[in-house]
Amino acid sequence: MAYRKVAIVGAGITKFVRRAQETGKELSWQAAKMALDSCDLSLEQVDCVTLGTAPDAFDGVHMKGEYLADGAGAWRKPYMRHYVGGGTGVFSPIHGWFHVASGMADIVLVVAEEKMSSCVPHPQGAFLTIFDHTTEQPLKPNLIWIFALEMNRYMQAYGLSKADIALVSVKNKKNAIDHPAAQIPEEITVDDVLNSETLAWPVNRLDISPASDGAAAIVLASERVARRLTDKPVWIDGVGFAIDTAYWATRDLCYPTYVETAARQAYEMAGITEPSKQIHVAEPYDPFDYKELHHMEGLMLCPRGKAAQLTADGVTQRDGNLPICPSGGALGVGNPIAATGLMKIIEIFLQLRGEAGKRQVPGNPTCGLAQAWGDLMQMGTVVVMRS
Amino acid sequence: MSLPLRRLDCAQHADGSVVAVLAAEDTALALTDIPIWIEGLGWCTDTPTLEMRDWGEAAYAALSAEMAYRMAGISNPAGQIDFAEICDEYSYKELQHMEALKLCMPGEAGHLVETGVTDVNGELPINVSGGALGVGHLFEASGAHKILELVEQLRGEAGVRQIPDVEVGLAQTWRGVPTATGAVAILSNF
Repeated sequence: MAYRKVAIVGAGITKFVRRAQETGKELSWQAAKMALDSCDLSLEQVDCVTLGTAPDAFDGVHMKGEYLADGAGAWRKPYMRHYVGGGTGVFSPIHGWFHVASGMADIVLVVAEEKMSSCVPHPQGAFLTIFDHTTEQPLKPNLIWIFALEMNRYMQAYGLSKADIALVSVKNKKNAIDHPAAQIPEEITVDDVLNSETLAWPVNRLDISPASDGAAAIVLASERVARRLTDKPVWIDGVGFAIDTAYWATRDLCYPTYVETAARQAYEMAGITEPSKQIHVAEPYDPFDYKELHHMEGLMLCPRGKAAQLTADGVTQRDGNLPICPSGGALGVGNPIAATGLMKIIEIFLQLRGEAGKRQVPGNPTCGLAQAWGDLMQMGTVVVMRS
Repeated sequence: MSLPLRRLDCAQHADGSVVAVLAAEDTALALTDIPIWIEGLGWCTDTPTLEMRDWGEAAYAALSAEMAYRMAGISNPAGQIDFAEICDEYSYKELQHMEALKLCMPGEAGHLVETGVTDVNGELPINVSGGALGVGHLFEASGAHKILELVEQLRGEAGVRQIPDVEVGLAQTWRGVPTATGAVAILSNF
């Protein structure tokens, strides 16, 4: 395939909080401005803007991509919104990548925003309408209810305990202590997770990421422009996205095939044949603690059913052989859906540039990936990056 | 409906679906004898804030057309575009968009319609398909219907609607109320 090389040259992120004073437009602009400033660009130099943001119901504005347009810096520019639910944030750089790789644009501003606090009493309510009206809505499924099924299935399939899985939450919330944007960084124990309120067994409150407000932005550039703008471009070397069936009853709950399909696309493009050796640092999507394990397996970073053991062995700690979610992930930094995925892209960007500060993983990593998951919980998005 | 718009000035909502298959050049030539080429694309969003727009013109259409014309190498739209399918969700929108697309001079579109220039046999046929006002308005899918009409016309498969000897067509859409977002595509059969 003939396409141009695409680099990330700048990034910005707002603080993730439960209830932001700023409007969604303001959050978008704060992140966009930070990203532009980080690579000394002005809005006039941007050819094209893409925006990722999840359900309209969160912000309470129908067609919220349109509403957020000027906040995202898109006034009188080519502008497109993309939306694949929780997978949106990692689809954001893919959407921008198409514009640069195809030659349509040299500089693209990619913004991801979510303001979930507008959805009262709780954004869970938005999910009551997303499933099939005949076969699934009558069961009144909310996401916690559904993920309780999936987590239980995963535990049963591989003989895992809730404590094995709680280690992920402990690790990520601790990692988040070093993230300036973090909403719920804290040092907790496995017992804290097990003793937190049961929401829908086996899911406890501390197994789950919070609802959040926040925005993130990156700047993508073609190779020629990127080399002029920075000494440390981070290249998007592989992109993948795939969907499985939207019906719960017809998909494998203990293995995320959608992630594997997306990962295989991205790995083939990036020339990765042994993911666990060639990927030095990864940010899989972790809205629930078991999901980090699920996704590590789908990404083929470890054999099926083995992610919990790697976690117990400390392999996925920041100073382990395969650091997973060194940012603190959705569990620690917070989960403003679309912005979370882009936060993960930004974490890999900083890690590969050696600019992650206290969060920096050792060993000068040169290849990393970010992954997200969403839509009707059957969509995987993967981006492989190299310094 | 709301003066000066009357019911028959407004396109009626419809359910529907349109699908197009795109292919790279080599694959396209292997699949069909009459591929229709995408020569130019443009899209643009003006301000989302109602108070800040210029209501007299469609900036989103003008800017997206500029982008598409640049890509397609079109310097004289009125001379180089053989026919167009443009957004007519409300009757005046067809005229406003014709002018924004530089298919005629500002303020001239109404006269062209009255004198038959935009009829199927005119010099610049517009919305020969019947447009959203005639075929129905599919919201986000309305643009795809315009692309379908371009493909059928450029392939000579438009039946009784066929415009003779067309080579370059333009499709344009507006995203509708409350947006100031639009897109333009230019297709050709050579």
